[in-house]
Amino acid sequence: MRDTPKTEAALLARLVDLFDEEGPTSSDEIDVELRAAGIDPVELRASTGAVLEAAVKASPFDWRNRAAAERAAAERAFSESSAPTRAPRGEIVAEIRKILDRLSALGSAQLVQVHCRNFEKSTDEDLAGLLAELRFLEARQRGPDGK
Amino acid sequence: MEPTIFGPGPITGLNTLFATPVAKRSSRPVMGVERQSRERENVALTPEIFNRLKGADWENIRPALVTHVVYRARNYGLRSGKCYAELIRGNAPQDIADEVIKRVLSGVRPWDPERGELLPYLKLQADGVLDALFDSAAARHESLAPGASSGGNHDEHSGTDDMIANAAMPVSPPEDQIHASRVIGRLFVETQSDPGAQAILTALMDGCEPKTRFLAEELKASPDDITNGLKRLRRRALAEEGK
Repeated sequence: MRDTPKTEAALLARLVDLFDEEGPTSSDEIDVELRAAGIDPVELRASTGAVLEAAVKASPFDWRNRAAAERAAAERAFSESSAPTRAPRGEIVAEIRKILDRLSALGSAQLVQVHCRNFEKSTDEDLAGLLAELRFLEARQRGPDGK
Repeated sequence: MEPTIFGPGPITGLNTLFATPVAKRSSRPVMGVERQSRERENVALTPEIFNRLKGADWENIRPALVTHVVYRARNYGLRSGKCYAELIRGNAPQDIADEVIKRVLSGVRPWDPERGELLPYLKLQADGVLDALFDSAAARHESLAPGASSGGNHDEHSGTDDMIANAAMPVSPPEDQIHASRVIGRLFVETQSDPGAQAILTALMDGCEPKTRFLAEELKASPDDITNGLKRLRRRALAEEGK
């Protein structure tokens, strides 16, 4: 049984439903529709570059915003991981050497080279700071799953 | 460039409209149009998708998106008899489109390339905003009128039941009925010289389902003929209304 529209408003609604099904697709149709609304299609296209640039710059995924966000996250992680070490100097040096060995095994030869030094000349505070840094770096190298 | 008929108004209320995720809608038609909406899945924007977005053909996508906003707003204005500038609360169509683009690029409304092309997704997001604006406009004019036709089987209901059922059914306010009567009347007159377009109107009046393929079947015409006939009808309807 057919569902005939009961009123002209219902008929008009069905007609507009059909209009909604398909809109302008070609450039000509798009330009006509825009001009009918008082929008200059040439100006609209010309402004697109600036609009997109602003939208990209505002995105947290833009490199400018990602760098700042990643730096802040790294600083937070570092401060959380670098709890003060009260172990004796010998234990600190031993752990430093162990981490350097593990980093070397992870393929981080450059990191090891940078941090290998004559520990006898370092102060206790320097060694504690180095240990905190190496713990942080090792955790970053392993990644979130610890591998 | 002269101010558009949409006016340079601020993006009033747009942030609120974007605050709600595009949740799966109920089957209740929105202003006579059943819109299918994506379920909000746990899709996140990734750097790879962000780079794809940056490299998209925005020179063509953005105008198409703005046009979509204009097109739908004008259609809704035609449906309701309201000025479509009022319907979108003074927001320029470009502002609505640009806000959608910004939200997709920022990951608030992440696009998943696995599920389809970018432009259809952007249009869907814009539809969500427009539907909310239209619903808001409609809510200001909807009225509940007892005694309206419920379409039910009156033999099975008491008079009281009918009144309760009718009271719960929103009906178009009188001004919408007057507007529709004017538009439809003029279209029938205007299409006397356009038998193809008039056949579409007649088929709809006779209860043909409002889909291009059903009309093509009923009228033994090609889908392109139906599409072109609808375009002519829309042009005439909008011209008559000065929209």
